[in-house]
Amino acid sequence: MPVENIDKDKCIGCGTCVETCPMDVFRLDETSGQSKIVYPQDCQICHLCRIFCPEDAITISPVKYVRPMVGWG
Amino acid sequence: MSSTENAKYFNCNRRDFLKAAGIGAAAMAFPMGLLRNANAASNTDMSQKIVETDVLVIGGGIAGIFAALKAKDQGLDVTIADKGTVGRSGLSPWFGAYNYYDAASSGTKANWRVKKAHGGEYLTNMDYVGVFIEDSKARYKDMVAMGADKANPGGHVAVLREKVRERDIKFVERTMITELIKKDDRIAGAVGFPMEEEKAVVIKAKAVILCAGSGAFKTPGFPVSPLTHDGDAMAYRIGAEISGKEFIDFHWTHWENPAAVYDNWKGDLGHDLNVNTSPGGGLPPLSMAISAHNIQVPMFIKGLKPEKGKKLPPGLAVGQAPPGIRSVDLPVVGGATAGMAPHKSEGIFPQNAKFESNITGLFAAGDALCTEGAAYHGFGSSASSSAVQGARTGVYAAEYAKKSNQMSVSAKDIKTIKKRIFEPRTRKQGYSPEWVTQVLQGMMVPYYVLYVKKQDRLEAALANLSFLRDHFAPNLIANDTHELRLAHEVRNMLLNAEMKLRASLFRTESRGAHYREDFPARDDKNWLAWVVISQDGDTMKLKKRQVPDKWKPDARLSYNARYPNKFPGENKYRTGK
Repeated sequence: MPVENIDKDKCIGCGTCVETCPMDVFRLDETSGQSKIVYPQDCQICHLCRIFCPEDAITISPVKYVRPMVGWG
Repeated sequence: MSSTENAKYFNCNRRDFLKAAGIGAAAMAFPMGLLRNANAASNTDMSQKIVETDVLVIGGGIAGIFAALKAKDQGLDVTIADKGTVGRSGLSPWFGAYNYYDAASSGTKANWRVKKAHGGEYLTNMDYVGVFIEDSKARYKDMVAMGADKANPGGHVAVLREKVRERDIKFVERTMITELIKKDDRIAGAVGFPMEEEKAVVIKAKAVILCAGSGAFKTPGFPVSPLTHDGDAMAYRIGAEISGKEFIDFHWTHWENPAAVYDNWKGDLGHDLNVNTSPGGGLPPLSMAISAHNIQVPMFIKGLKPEKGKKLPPGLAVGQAPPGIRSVDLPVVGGATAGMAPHKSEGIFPQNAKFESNITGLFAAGDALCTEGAAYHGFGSSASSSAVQGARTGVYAAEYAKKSNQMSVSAKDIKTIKKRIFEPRTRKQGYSPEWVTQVLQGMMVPYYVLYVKKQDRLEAALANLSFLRDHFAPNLIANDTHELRLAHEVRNMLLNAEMKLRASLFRTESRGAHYREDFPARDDKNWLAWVVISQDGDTMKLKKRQVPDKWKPDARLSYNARYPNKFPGENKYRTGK
């Protein structure tokens, strides 16, 4: 996946990635208080989340997966 | 055969046959066609928050930030809105170069003007060249004073967000502004919705400045996925004139891992600004992207390839290859910005030198405003031009707001707008924005539609696009507010696609970043003009607006002097050789 993982041992739930992402990929999980990747299919692999994360908790792959094309959708 | 005869054939009675055939009251057994909205909302009358302000800036990139700061300097109530976060949005984090006019090192103003006119192939708006000459050095000094010239891993615009926050400017972030409100032919404000709450945000404003940048078709490899021409689309729908839609940008991406934006463009982050004071002059037309049928595809750039099975150390640039890592030719291809024009070659058509659209109270600045002409003509001028334009527009919009009343916006107005905005949330079945986007990309991104144009292919694309516009756009579903954003983005991309196809068909010549292989030469006799698009009832109307005589090329300049960079097939078309 493009943005792949938020390290649960590092994430402090500051919400910076949620705010920073231009594609609205993240949400803060109400239960854990940490950030989670909710819409990875919209990630544009720009790394702004990783750059602004104060704890360096985010890892990103350069590979994007695209849904196969189907006749209706 | 009749159904009775059919039944006999299949050795069953007629009623059983009809049942099996699914004819009549029986519904289709197979779920083809419309997708069900798994989380439809019950109605569109969401709760709302009302913000009142004098000047609303839509878009928090360089242009929007400067507009907000300078409007605030005039002592007014200023609000800045962004679909994401101010200072982190759009293309603004991604510039590394900065250009300005300096009397000591740039040459004469007259020479600068000649270069800019030439670079835009004589469609450059020379009033805005004048504005740049006057203000660009002062804006550079502003950047330095705010610390925005220094290396920043998040881009030079990252520090500017704090400057805006220091100034008692209202922030409306992670909110997609979706409609502009017009009352009695004057701007009254805008309405949008936030990413994480089912509610409407209504901003009543005396003046609105569109700084929402441009857009593309969510193409891979360049950070344009959040940019979907929201400003153009909203403005068009209230009657604004739009121009420059025939020009196409030629940014490239790697053939391997084409979606890896950071890997492609990280060289622009994390270093001090590369400042230059050169007048530029014009890039060869579609340099990367004239992957015309007879030119080798893909192109190559120098890159680093690790040994098989190993990873490249992060941050390594070409020229720094340590032992064991070769510098190789990496294949790159154009199309990373399909759907986008070069910086400032498209956008709101300015009615004058004061950044005004044809809608009273609606201004635009930066990549949202059409000023650059047919091609991009100066490295580093896109960032500095946005700063210059944003700053000026902030002042003009504030002047206008000071002498204007707030147009009234009634509860009924708001309810009607909310219905339009939230309709995809309530629709029980329809088409998903992701799928429609994918279909649109398949139709519009391949090079033979917008990069290498021809009448028959443009018309074919337009026929398909019209179907998407008429059939899918009014039937989108969204199962949450995130998907609602995608729904409105795809509506705006569909509108942009239609503008791009119609403008490309309309301009029957080639010029700058617009290449027609059926008209592969510049036609100064007929086409020293802008193509201006506006809404006319339900249809899209296009007209020619002549470039003023004083901006046309010197009559003594030969064709080859005006246009030294030739398109494929141009010489043969003109001279037969």
